[in-house]
Amino acid sequence: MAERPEDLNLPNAVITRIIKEALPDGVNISKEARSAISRAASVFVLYATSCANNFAMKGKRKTLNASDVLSAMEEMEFQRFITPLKEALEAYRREQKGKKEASEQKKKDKDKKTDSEEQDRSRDEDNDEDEERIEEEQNEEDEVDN
Amino acid sequence: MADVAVGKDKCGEQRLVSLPLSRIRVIMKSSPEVSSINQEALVLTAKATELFVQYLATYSYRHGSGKEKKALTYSDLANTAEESETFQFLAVHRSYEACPPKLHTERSALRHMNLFPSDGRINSICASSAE
Repeated sequence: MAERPEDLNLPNAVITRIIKEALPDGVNISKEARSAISRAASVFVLYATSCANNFAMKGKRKTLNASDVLSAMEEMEFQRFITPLKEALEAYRREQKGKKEASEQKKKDKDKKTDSEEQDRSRDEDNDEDEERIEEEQNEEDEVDN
Repeated sequence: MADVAVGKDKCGEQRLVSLPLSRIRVIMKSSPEVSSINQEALVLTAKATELFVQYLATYSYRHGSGKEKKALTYSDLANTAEESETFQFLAVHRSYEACPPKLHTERSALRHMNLFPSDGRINSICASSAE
């Protein structure tokens, strides 16, 4: 299946910002340099994916997981990435745990309120709207079209 | 997954990753032998890619001739791909055998990408003679 070239490119604005933040102030980045870095980043993703997939297959798994990606970095000789990646993974897991607990708590609160509905009807309506908005936001973030 | 172009989310917290996960996922899935990717792997790949961009840019700048002019140029990057072992996978070689084995299966996707030709001309990676 042929991919259109633009499908495999990363957004210029984000790439440019990452480069600018990494380099000293006032350094000019040519358009060709920026474009080349962007393409290199896409190649990196492919290379990392292929490498990570080898580790998944070794483990007889069909789904790539975090440890496969970390092993790939080692294999590709980007050991310097491993510590910041592990930190990012921890932060991500904490964030996910926080979200899960928050939505479970809201569910508990909602159940409690249904019991005392007659007394607090108007307040419930406000809270339901908040819950719906937060749930919508969470659903957007959790959506993974595997 | 919504595309994230800025570093802050609705609550003003620093997002873990600035590159859009949806796009990273598209690139990963273009790899034929990959079945599925768990969310953590996706986040880590995106983060690794950011680290890679930073590393490639700073390495090329430090080692490149553009440094005197306070500029990062294409040739700085081409030199990095040629001379650095770490970044060698970015260099384009004419002979098919010179391509890292891991990239062979991504030929079709990579054919659209022009990277750093060793002979100075724009060329596709893993030259079409391999087909």
